Amino acid sequence: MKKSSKFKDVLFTLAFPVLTWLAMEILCLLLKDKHVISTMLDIKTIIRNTGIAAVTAFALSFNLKEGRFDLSLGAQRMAGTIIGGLLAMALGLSGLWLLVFAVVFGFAFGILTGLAFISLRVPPMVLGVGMALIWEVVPYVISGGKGLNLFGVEGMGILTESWFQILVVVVMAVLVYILMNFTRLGYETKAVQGSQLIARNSGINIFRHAVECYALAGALVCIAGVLDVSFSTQMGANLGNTSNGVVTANMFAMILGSYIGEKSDSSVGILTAAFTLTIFKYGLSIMEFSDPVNSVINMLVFIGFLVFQANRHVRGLNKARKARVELAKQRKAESAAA
Amino acid sequence: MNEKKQVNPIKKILESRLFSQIMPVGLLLLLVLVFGIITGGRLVSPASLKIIILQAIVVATVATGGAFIFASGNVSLSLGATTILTATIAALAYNATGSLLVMIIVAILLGVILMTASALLSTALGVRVMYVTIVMMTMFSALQQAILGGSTVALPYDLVQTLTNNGFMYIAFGIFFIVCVILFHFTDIGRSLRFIGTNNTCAEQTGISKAKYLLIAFIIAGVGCGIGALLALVRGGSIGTSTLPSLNMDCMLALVLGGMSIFGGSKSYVYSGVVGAITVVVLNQGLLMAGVDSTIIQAIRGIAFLALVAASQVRPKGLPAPEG
Repeated sequence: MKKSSKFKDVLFTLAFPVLTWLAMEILCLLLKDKHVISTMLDIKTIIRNTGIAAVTAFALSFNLKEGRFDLSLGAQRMAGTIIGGLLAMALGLSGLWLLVFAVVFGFAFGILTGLAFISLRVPPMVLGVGMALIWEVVPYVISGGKGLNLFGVEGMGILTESWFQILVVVVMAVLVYILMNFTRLGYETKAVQGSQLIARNSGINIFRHAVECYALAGALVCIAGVLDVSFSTQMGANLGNTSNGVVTANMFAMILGSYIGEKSDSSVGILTAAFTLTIFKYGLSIMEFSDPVNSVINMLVFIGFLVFQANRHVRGLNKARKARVELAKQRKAESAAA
Repeated sequence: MNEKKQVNPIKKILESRLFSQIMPVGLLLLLVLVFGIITGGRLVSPASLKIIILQAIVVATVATGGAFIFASGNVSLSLGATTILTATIAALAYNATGSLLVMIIVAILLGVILMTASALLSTALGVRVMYVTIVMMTMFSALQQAILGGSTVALPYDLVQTLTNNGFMYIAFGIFFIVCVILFHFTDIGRSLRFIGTNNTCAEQTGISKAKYLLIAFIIAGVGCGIGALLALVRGGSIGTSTLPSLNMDCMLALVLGGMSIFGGSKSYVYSGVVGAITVVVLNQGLLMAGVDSTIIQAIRGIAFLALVAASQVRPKGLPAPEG
């Protein structure tokens, strides 16, 4: 019985990327007479984009699972990656060190954002808007408005290697899996997800927990930043609260991942969702849709999914209510007859 | 038996309605005074004041409409993206038809349609407001990029000049503002939205439909976005993907600086958007004229925003959750 259920869960999880690939393959063949994946470059791009989407979704999940959306994550990503990159370059170190520095700075920005949250106690979205304005200024000032440019810099080659990107993403997925399933943080996350008030009354330090979530999110989002800059070779220091677009674009992967994860685990779910959406977006680009149109289509699908998710239990609830009414009527008729 | 509870008089003053009404205007006057002195009177010269009003008018219009949403305790992040997308399509409509009336109708209707779609997703289809507002913001920005590519849409110079000289911006804003004041302070709409913002459960139990009033709030905000789009077009003469990138943030900052609680409720005022928008511009211009680097001004705005939001709320014992 259990084996059959597990098998169904695996099928459910695999169905998302497989069916998406199949649908995009058919559409690409019909419309453009092309395959979704035809060269090694396609595979490399899909691996990299999956990695960026998955790591960003992991970062979002730490806070979003508890109802907090950190709108400053994009600015933290930008600040951590640019400052980490500039430091690694200044010291003449390799790409691996760039990654390490970016994670450290992301962690620090995350802690500071978390501390601001528990000190000011303003709604997370509002805090995110204010903090984004502040964090965006930091890399701009430090880089003199130039941002980060890795073009032609020696020692950064490792960041573009597919095996390295896969390794980073797998390590992150395993780390998040361990954190969420075998540590105090995971236990506290589940408790706060249920009820923050009850969690607090049962002795959980929700303030420390929130700072930990912000710190981990900051560190993870900078890994995504490094994976991104490894390909594009440059990251601009943008102002005007425009840095969060790259993060919000990956919210779909996080929400879809949580849904898929109901049948397995949220880490597996997010990884699967990131892969699925990457194939979907890649398929659209093979069909020669421009990036903005691709983004609009993605958001429309996202809205459709949100509507489905918000209403998926409604039918069941209505059915149960009708059954209750029927039962009550039956009982009433029985007691009247007696 | 009849012991009176000791109340801190300063706290009492700070939490009073009168203080929340006077404080924003006082803050604005203080900023004008301080920067007026620092800049040797340049900030308050007629030319400078005109620039301040022109810069504030778009934010003031969109924020005035947005005040209806904020009063209900909801935060919208898609006001800016809605306004810019609306302005883009309205400009294209003018260029296609050459009719000013068509441009005005398209702008207002589109603003209303886009905001109504956002509202219906949450009120009728049950999607969380936090998700709706973020998805809409991303989608509208992408849609504008898809329409424009890398180019900009410009209105004919003659049209912009005629509208500017005829005071179109002041008339459009004035009419919208007066209607909003009436709706917000003298009708059931404003009262119900403030009630929902103060205590959502209590409001629903007294028969106020949250879904209905939230929809009305979004529609009014949509009209604000439409008029804001027209004003942005007339003020700038053209619209591109980099036009007014921080409009949403400026609207939120304006509302907070204008004395509105980010949590909405009884201390919500429709004029907050106007007072706040002027305050934001005075702060920006004043700091610029005082020689502060424009980059640093962004950080100062962020700090001022967070400080004022924190000051405008009663600090909760726990952490704010769960709706963003």
